[in-house]
Amino acid sequence: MDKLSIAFLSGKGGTGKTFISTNFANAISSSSYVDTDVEEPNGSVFFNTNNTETESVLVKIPKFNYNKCTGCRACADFCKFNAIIFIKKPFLVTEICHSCGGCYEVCNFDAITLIDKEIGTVDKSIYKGHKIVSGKMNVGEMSGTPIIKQAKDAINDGIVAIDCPPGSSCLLLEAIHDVDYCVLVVESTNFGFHNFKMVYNVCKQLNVLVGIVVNKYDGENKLIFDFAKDENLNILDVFPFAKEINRITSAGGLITDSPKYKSRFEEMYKKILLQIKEGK
Amino acid sequence: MREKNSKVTIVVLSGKGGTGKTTLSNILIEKLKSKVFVDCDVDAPNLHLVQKTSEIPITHEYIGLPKYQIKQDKCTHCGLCYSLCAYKAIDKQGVRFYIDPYRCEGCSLCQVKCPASAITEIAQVDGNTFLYKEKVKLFGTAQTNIGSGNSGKLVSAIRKQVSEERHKTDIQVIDGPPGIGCPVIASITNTDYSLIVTEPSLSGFSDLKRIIKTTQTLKSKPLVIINKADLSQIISSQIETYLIKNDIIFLGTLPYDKNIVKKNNLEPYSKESSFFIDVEEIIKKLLNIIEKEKEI
Repeated sequence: MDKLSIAFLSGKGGTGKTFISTNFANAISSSSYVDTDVEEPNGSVFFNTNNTETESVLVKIPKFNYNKCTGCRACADFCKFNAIIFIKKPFLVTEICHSCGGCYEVCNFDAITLIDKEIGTVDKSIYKGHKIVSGKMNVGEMSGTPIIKQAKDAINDGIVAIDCPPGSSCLLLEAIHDVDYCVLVVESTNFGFHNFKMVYNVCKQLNVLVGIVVNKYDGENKLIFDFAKDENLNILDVFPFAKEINRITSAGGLITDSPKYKSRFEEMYKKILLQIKEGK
Repeated sequence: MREKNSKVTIVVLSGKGGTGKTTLSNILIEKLKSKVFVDCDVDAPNLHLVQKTSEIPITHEYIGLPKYQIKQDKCTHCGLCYSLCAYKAIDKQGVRFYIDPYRCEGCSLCQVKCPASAITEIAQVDGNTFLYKEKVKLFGTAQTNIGSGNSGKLVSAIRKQVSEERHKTDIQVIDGPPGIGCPVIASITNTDYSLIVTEPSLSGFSDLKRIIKTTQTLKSKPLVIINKADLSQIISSQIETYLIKNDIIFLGTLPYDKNIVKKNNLEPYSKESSFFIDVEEIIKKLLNIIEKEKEI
């Protein structure tokens, strides 16, 4: 089967991206789940297995050979990130290095080698027939973009639910790069709505199909519904703030283990497929 | 150690999103009578929605590194840029090459190496900073542009603007971003205390451990609050046990309160609620800690 990637995003944190995406993957047969929220990956909390395979995510950083270095400064002058300090000879500020490899390329004296540095891991496992992939950034690292790339590359076919990071920065753009559909998980509060509009604009700019899931709905704040009506957006489902759901989720459970919720996510998937078929 | 009456800076963090950072920041600003505060969640700022101000902010564009573009009329399709780019930012479509601006990090390697000089810079505005300067308060906030990779630098830029204007005795409150990456690190740097707001879920707990480590590496003292604690007493007490075991200061719990969710909907707080009784307790503890450390 061809690959069909569906991203779950929200702008604001804590609106239920992981809640919706994990349950989606659990409900839809032969689907996979990829956690790209690498700074705070929580998908594996819900897909608890003991068959996890872990691979390192490596980036390249320079190592200087001071016997060969002539002190020409070419590397330090090249580095746009100012990660190379030059005091008679070059020194790397590892935390700032963006691993572009440029210093190695510009050195004319073969004084730089590129060495591996681990910035995170990608965990792979199988949960009830679903492939589960989880990218995780090491504490203290600056950017998880390469981890997101590697995690997404781990799945080549089938339906893929991609659990995205919050915000609208480079991390989110990497997570939704080349996806077929974006599910915007919106909390019906003013904060939630404000940040929803930010990611909605990202999707609009990238010209990717979107649908909305309203989560933790309090029955009062209608901002998102009015907006969806004006913009003619597809509301896929609405989940209330319910203590029953919270009790299951906070303990690491999946609501789609119960048939009544499973069928709702199957319905959601049908709506998404229909929208993709219609192409708007 | 710090001198008496010197500046104190508290950053509010959580790891996991949606645990109540902005709500807590807003309460801290009010209760600590803070006159200097910054929203560092530059990828999804919200504090300005509850800290209404009539002033027009001083706005600055934040110019980051440029991105690069291939001039198709000069390109000889040699593919050198394609093979050199560490970010896989160069797409190949037929014989032509294009740079994906969202993946380009601006290292300039493609431009430096291009034998046909076919690659040019495009200046890039990564976001904007907004400084609200009023008689009694100073409020800084910022917003990144779509897909910007420089959230951390934007955080540092707005913090620098605020600290240049700040008076010596003020307590500064910073509303931090979720996660543990570069904007978080830029928000924690040079703060005294990291007030971590967590929630009693396995997800919240797992993220809490990672953010505590991050604050400790950056030498900002972690202080923890469990918000919405009544949603799971079991996990709440597991978190408490973890904190005690690891010698982390626990400030207390706050109950789930529907009215607080509504405050987020810009309606007034209900001040008699048990939520606010607990808030008072936490503020008292917090002030005690700050006072004690000043004396050392």
